[in-house]
Amino acid sequence: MILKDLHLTNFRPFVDENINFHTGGEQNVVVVHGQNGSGKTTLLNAIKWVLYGDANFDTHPDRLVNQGEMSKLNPGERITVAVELDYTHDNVDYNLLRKTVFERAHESDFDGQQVDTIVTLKKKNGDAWEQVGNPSHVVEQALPERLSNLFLFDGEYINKLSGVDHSGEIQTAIQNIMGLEILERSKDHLKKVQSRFEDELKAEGSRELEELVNKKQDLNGSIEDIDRRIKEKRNTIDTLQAENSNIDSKLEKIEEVAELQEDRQELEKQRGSLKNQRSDLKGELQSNISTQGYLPFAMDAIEETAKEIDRLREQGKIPSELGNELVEDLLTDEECICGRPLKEGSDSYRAVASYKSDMETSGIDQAAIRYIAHLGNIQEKHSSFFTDVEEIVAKRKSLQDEIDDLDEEIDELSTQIADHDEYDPEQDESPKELEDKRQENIQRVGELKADIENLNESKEEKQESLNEVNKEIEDAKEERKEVLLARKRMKAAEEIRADIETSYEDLQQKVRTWSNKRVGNTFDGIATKDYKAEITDDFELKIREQMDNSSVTVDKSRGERQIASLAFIGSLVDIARQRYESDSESDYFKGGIYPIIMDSPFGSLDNEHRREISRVIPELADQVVVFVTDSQWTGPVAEEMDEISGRQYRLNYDSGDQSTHPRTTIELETSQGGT
Amino acid sequence: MSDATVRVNYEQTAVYEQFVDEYGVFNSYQDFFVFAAAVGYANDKKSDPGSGNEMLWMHFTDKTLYKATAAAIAYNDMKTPEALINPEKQLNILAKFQAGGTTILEEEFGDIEGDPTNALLNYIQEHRSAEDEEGTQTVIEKIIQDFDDDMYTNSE
Repeated sequence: MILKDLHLTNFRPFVDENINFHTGGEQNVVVVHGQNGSGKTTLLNAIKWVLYGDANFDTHPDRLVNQGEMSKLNPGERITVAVELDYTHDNVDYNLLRKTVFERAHESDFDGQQVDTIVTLKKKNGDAWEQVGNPSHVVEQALPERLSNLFLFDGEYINKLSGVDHSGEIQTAIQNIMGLEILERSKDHLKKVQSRFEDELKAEGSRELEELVNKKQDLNGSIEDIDRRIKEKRNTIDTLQAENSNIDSKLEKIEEVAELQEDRQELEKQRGSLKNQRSDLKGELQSNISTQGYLPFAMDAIEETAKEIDRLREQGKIPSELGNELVEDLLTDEECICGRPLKEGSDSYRAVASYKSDMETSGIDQAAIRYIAHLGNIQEKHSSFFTDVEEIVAKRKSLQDEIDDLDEEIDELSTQIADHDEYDPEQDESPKELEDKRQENIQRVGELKADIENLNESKEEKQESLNEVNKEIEDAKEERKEVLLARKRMKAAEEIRADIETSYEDLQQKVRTWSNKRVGNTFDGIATKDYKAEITDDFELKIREQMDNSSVTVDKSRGERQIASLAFIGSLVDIARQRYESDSESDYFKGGIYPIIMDSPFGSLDNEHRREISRVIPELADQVVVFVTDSQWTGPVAEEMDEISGRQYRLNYDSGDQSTHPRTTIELETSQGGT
Repeated sequence: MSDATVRVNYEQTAVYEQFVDEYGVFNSYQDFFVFAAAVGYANDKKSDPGSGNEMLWMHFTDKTLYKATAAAIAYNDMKTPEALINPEKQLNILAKFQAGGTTILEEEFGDIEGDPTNALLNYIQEHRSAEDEEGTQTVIEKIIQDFDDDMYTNSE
């Protein structure tokens, strides 16, 4: 879908306004300027409303009608709210019109009573327009509603995508872009089928089998319930963390606490980085235990065996001759059994090379000498094991001390912020209120995480019980043909469902890998520091810093987070486009061409990050629409985006006076390229 | 039969999941298998590994230290040089010791809630004897030297 024209009639502050989204060539961006409260978010909602009949307003959610126009009506008179969108899909022009008629009920009624809603969709055939049946279905084909959050979004969504522990959002976005409804539907259908066979089993089988199936159904129900609760809790965590990110932005803008907030943020960043280092150390410790932890327990055996072999050597039972193969190995490795270097041409090299003989020693001789050859390495690993782990444990302790110190400093700054209880008119709250809310959210997130952990444990227990019950059902002795058949069918349905789930997960991982590659490339081309962005196997958007030969996860600054999130969205648009153009019939993921419409993607970033984000934006999709305030636009954003914006509009908001009502007009400021 | 296809049944209890899958203390079941076998050996505890899970010799082929350790444990158990060249016997003996070791680890860590990494590290450190380490080091260095000297003498 490519947007062409949007016309608004009596929609909230817009009475009769138009935006032309035509862009051309390199100027693929349309910019809409507007101050806070001028109607930028309303425009975003107008697009959602015309497409899906749904809009999400923070204030007066039920009010669609323009107040000024409504006030001109007498009670009983009617007014039409309409949004009309021209778009192109699959090289066909469409005209979508959604209009709702409202009636003014009485003098003080400014919202109106909804009388009727009509949606029409026309498509161009040659020079003529023809009506299309089932508009919502056709729109859904062009830009599925499940993708609306992904392509019509605001700064808050960008924060959500990149927030700490927000793997759920990334995974949901990937699932949405894949749009595997067929698989989803198959899973649901098979579940019903399975349940039908279970009922048959209960009805036809023995009393014991009936009880087992009841138990199985109860356990399945409990597991589903736990999954649902975990999902809800994860969503709440995402929301709370996005809310706290928003609170942080607000605190930064309140003069009295801005510095405290900045200091706290810096310390939190340091703490995050230390926690990542602590986690890396834990990995190092585990790796040492995993590969060398057995040595202290095995050293006696190793020593005793070495002594025995040495005794055999002394007795002449093992000739101290090396097999030719072993000699070759030593010469290739350039190291003797004793650890002496064997440089080609040196005396030692020549001496070892001379051990090669025409006689081959027996298997036991070879094995014994090989064993002795490895002793040096074993001894070295054994000696270094305790030194290495002690070093790691000491480093970990020191990191923990630093983290504890930072915790204290952060707490102190939080207390100082909360001491400011003076009301801030611009943020509509005092720092104390914001801080209290922030702390409450942090505590709540902690509680929710603990809940999730408990739920996961409980799920695991139930899953174990379920496996046992399944086994008992399978083993239950039943004679009747009907029962045996129902049991076979139930199992088959269950296995197919499990296969589909596996395919679904595999496909998600496939898309994640594609996305990861693209995110990495976009991020590399934009971000100024030695950072790499990646989408991990667990669907987390992480930023890692390159350090010589290794990389560590860094606690992302808001700027890097937003760049990575936008790169992620861009990657999905790109993947969808490629799938669409590949015309593949091989699997269910068809893809599509999608525009991106974003409201205030710059948030309260510094100039450097605004510039970087401005560079990402034109790369995101074939068509990008950006809403910005003047303060976000000035400086680097204007420098970067002026050239690539095909059209720029301005929302002029008039708050009205005693006799008039608020109204926004849309004015074309500049136009280049496109028609 | 090639060595790579040598296989043995082994005891896989809940601690495997705890240490490998859940908390990632061990990178793989093979690493935990060898660790449990070493613990079983150190405590002189062997038992029947049961059936149901298989460990393949090929899992150790690229880990020379595991092969040397398997040979050492088997040699000490069988008291015959043949143990040095028979991977099947080595793996069988290792599996018996790992079954014994797994029981010990189950008793030690089965009831621990949460990440057992630190507790396991303490357990390994408790087993440490600095004096023995020094002694072992001296003995091993001497054996290597003796073999080395012998080789030089024989080649002259």
